[in-house]
Amino acid sequence: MLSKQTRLTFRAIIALAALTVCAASASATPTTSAGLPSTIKVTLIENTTGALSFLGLANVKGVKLGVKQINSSGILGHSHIKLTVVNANSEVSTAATLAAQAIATHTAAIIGPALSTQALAIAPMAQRAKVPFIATQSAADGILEAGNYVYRLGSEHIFDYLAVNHVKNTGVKTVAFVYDSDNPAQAALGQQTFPSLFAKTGVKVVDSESTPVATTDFSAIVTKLLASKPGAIGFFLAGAQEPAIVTALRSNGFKGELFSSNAAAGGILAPAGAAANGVFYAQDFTADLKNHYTSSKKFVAAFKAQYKSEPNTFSASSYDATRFLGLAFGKAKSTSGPVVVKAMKSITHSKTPFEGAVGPATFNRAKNYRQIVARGVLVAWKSGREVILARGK
Amino acid sequence: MILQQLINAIVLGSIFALFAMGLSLAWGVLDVLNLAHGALFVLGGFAAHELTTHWNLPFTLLVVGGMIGSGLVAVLIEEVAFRQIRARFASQRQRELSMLAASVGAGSIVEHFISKSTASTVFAVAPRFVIHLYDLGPVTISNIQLLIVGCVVVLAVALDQWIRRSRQGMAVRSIAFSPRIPPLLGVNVGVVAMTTMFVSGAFAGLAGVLLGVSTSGLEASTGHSYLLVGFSVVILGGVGSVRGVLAAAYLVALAQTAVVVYGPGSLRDAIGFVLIILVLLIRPQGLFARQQAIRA
Repeated sequence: MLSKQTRLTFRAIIALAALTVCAASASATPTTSAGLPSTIKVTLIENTTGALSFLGLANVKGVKLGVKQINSSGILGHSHIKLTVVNANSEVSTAATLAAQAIATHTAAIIGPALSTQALAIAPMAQRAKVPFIATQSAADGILEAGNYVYRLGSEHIFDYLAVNHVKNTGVKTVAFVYDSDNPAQAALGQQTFPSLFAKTGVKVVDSESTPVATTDFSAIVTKLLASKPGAIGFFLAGAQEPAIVTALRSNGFKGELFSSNAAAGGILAPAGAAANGVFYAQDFTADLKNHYTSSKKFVAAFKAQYKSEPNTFSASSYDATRFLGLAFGKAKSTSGPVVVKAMKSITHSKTPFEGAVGPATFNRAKNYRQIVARGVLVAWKSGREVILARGK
Repeated sequence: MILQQLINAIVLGSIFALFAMGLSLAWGVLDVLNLAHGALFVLGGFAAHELTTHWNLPFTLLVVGGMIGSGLVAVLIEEVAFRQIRARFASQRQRELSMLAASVGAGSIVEHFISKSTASTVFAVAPRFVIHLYDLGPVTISNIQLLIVGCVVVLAVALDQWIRRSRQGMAVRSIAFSPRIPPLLGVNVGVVAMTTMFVSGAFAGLAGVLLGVSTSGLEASTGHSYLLVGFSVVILGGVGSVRGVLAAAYLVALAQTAVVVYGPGSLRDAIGFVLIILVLLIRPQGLFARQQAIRA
């Protein structure tokens, strides 16, 4: 006969074992036979309010379309992606807080945000937590360098050479720039990317002006730029600054070529009206790529069916980011970070091009195959829409 | 180029002055540090945008519409928030802090409304307004720039004269001096407060319309940067002083333009705050306000 103390000990052990089993059952998400949980939690951190919300809202559309297609495609078996969209309000601290919350609540992956300073804050957090993080348009240096859990499926300004070639082909001999000093991506364009590209063409840079991202009045900068008599002016700004500089330059009599980065995309130049006609910029995607690539055609058709409007480059790259993530989950048959990243690596190392909304794309070997390389397209803004001037190879 | 930059600074200073005059009026008279002023500034432009989109009104009516829109919302904020706080709290410190918090909330609501209505993108204020450039020898100036400067001159004189010489202006000054005495003299403080907030909001709305036309568009968050400049102008010029605000606005604009001309343009926003620190070290009440002693 067991002593009272021994009986109590056995009962405690049995109770503890029962509690442990219950806890394990509660925390474990029901899995399908393939090893994927039935619900795969993915967090999209984007700016749906604030200065960059026009870009953020376009990204949300692209991601939602991507999730819808992945869930209905069957590549995840009986599992489905549950997308949580959170608003970083164009603030770095908010984005970092949201990323921490997403990681703490066991998100399988994070997509976005578009602002480079936000992505720079999130990338190391995701890397440390071993959560795959896919950046979209945030193009600053240092994001991919956070580690192998970080991918970028948006432009790295690798086809800005299309804009430079176009400037050279117009016969222009001199160029000037104005750029946002406190936006790392735009600052890099004005300080490094475009100056070095133009140096190879023989077009001389006669002036380069920096300005804070909060600037709305460009009269002093325009006067200074025009005094150097450039044949073309490149502007690498953000949001309302883009149509503002165009209006300021044209209303001050500048008749030369105007070009920008993909910050001019998404119809942001529309408020400048006819003054913006002819402004050109290179980007991943434009709706007219539907006439050139089958994958682009499918994307444009699906987007129009869902949203009754044509997609822009931001929706395209966020859509591709989502499709890439879905393919990785399907290949990995797991949401475990290391397994998903291994699957991502196999996709990006594949010899078969990634057929995305941006058309056939590869991944940059120099960036450890974690940076998408689309063919790119040079467009001009004309009477309210983008017209293709040239396509990358 | 220097003459042209001077013209640019005068126009920029005029926008700052229009924005800051309204801010100074509310702060000086009603002790309201109105952080919703930036949102009212954008609201003026938004109202003009809506009027031109739906009814294709002439430019003058767009301006008037923008001013009235912002003025009315400022009155609404006064009635719904500030007046209630004034009635509730006896302590001045509590009143000021509560009104500050209320203005933050009001500004967020207005900004959110504009953001939702414009799909968070840049909106054109008066797309049919054609900007003409006039060549005046060594300088050029556009019709919108002339309009901005003209508005400031007319309105600054009008506001100054109204405050100094009219009965309502005397009532406004008496409330600014001591809020407790005017009711004893038959002044309806509520009506004066509403009038003051309407004028304050209307000035912000006018600045928003004119800036929106000159820059071809605004977005919901444009007011944030102007709020910072506006406060630096009011502090520099002296709270409640129209002449001080004018002088400070042009001083800040000249300083910002000088930074663009001679130095890295990236520092142009910082210069306003450097000026504040310098002036406050020498003259804490601002350039034009009288020094006051508060008995303990």
